[in-house]
Amino acid sequence: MIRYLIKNNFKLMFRNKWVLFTMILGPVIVIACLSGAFADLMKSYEGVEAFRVGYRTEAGSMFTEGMEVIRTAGENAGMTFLEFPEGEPEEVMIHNELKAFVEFGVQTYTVYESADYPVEGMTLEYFLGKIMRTYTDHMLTEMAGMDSVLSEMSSRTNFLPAEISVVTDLPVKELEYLPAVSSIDYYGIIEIVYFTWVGIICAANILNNEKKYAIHRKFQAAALSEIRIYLGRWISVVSVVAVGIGIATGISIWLFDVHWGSPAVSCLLMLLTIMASISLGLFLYAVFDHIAITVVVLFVLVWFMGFFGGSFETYMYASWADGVKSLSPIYHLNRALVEHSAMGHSAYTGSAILYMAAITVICSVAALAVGRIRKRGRA
Amino acid sequence: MSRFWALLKMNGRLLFRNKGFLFFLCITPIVSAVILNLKMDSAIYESKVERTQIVELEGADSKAVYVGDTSAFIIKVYDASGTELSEYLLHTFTSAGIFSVCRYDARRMSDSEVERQAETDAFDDRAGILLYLKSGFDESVLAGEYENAFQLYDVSDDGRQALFEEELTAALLRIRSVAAAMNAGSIDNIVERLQAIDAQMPQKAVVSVSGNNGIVLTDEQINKRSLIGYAFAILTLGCLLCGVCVAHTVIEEQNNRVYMRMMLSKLDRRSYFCSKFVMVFFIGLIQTGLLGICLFCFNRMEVGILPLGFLGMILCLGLIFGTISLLLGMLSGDVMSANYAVFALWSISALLSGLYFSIDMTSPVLKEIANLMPHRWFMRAAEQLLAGDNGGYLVVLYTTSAYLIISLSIGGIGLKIKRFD
Repeated sequence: MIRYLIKNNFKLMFRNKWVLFTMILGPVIVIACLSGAFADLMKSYEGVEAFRVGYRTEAGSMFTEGMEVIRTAGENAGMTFLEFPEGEPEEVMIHNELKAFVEFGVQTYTVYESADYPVEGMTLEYFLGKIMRTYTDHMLTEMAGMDSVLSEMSSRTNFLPAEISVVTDLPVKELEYLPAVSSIDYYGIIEIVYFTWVGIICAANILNNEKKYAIHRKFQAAALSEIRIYLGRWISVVSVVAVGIGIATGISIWLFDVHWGSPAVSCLLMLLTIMASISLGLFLYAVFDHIAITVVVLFVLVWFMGFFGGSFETYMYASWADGVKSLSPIYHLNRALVEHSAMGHSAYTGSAILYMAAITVICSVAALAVGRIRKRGRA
Repeated sequence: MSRFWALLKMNGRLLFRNKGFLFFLCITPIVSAVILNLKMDSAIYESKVERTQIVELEGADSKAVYVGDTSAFIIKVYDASGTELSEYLLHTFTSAGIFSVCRYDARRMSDSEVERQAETDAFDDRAGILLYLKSGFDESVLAGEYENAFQLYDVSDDGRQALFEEELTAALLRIRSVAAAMNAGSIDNIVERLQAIDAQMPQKAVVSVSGNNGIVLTDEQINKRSLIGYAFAILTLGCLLCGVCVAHTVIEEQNNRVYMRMMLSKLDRRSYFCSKFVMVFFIGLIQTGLLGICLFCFNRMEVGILPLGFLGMILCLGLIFGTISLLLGMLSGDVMSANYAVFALWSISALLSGLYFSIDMTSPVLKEIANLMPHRWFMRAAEQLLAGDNGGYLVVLYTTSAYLIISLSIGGIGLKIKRFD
């Protein structure tokens, strides 16, 4: 009998293609938008590739004589200096695809940094700052003039981080930290979790039909136990949501190259999440006996859990107290999955599993109890 | 002409009897005006932070990632020293160009509290390195006892950490050599001397240049753009749902055979559909007028764009979305399906167009897709107008013409294929 119920529920759910489509496409669109919106905030430094810098020197500039040396030092640091004596620097940069520009005045210099290439602009600023600092130090100690300073600079190649060696022992303490998580990885995981929690919407057709055609009376006539009816719904909805979320995850990995952590742990956590979310949804339906109210209440509940759990603003940067965050089951899940992705392990895996198992068991038992009470009331 | 007016009057009567229509017609401009009057600070997420200044943090757990320059190497400092020398050291970093310094005054924190905060920040913030300047910083630095002067916490794998350590080492050596040269004078004198040396360096100026397609907005303009985005979202939802109400009259007239009776009179099909389109235009006018009145009452039309220009944009937006929902409703022949379709269209268009948050950093493919959305062009025009570039009006005009031509042409073909009558 239960197999027949599950089969029938599958049929009903697959009739509502609009909901299934939303379940699959919804997370993909939200991932694309949120990861794009927060890309700047979450991006990590990936080094600077060789780039072109425009320059011009004013007549009588203190830098004129040393330009050849600056060019050579720049070449060593991955910057090709090209001279542009005419034109507005902003226009010269755009027309010649320069990532930065520098104007050497008599005793000053102006660095033009493109908003599109901030890291390259900063690198140039740092490079010139080092030259100026070395020049000043040498001048003040009367060791040498600009030419010899620049000669020394031209032989230096240690402007790139990988080539620098720090001689002085500084008191540095290594702390365990969360490595940089890209916005794609973060929202690619988090939004899949979020949409999993609203998976009960897939059951809308089943629950609507049961109510519309008073199926519960037929179940009573067939002497079906409350547990079997519940399992008939639960197994079918969990299976459909698992497939839908699996497809959405596959599409997001294919489109955005989202990196999940260990497949076994991630799959286990996601499966437990689906079970918990459907149990919670069915419990709310048992209480309210109306799919529209169930959906509204669940959405509000999930929104709050997501709000404090990092579904919109990253849980790392959200300023909520840890106690408030810990109340949200989504926080434990998000943190466990993100840390597995970034670090390969997480101290939150246990609490996430406990939370999901507790929600599944408590909500299922409560839904059955409410169902029995309602049945007695009807009888 | 009198028949056309009669049709319009009939449409108006039908629509104004619909309470749902009246609700959306009135409530969306009011909500939009309230939104436009909000004071919010969305600029913290995208404002250009001045790297040459030390950013002061209000609390030890304040996030450096929000206030620091995320393109630079962020140094989060717990400053328990608060001396001129520590200030000089931090300014050395800010003037280097590649570092962004965020400081919390940690004079009331103990060593263990700082360490606990550092352990939290290692997971919950995005600093490149954490620097704790201890209370005896000055004396310890001059004595070369760095472990008593400060503590570094390595909390990232950022490749620029070596640059920072080199910069710190050079600054410490400079401080000590100046102190040695001055025969251990007072700290004030040492700092003065160091600053005098720095003043000898060629002066640097930095100019930020907007990108190829970039429009540089001030923090205030960024806030106004965010509010305009939210207002656009609410208004277009209203326009779409009002458009569905107009489509509902068409569906009802067809179901009740009113349309057939009208066609049996001397009224032609073109006038009938024109009257529906004119209704959409009137709805747009009413919404724009209501928004104008509310804005005048709430914030004296201070939206950052010329009032008439802004209202013109709203009218055009209403015209586009009203027409699209009218056509979707007529083509679907079912109000529920039309509601689903327009809601999906609204959600995707608003999300992809950057109405809620900037999509400047999204992938090129997504940007290309976003260019298909009407909202995207209106947001671009709003940015131009906020920045004082009147070319934004042309963008609005071209966008409106293009979308009306496309939607009316596709809608006309669709209706012919569907054999409306």
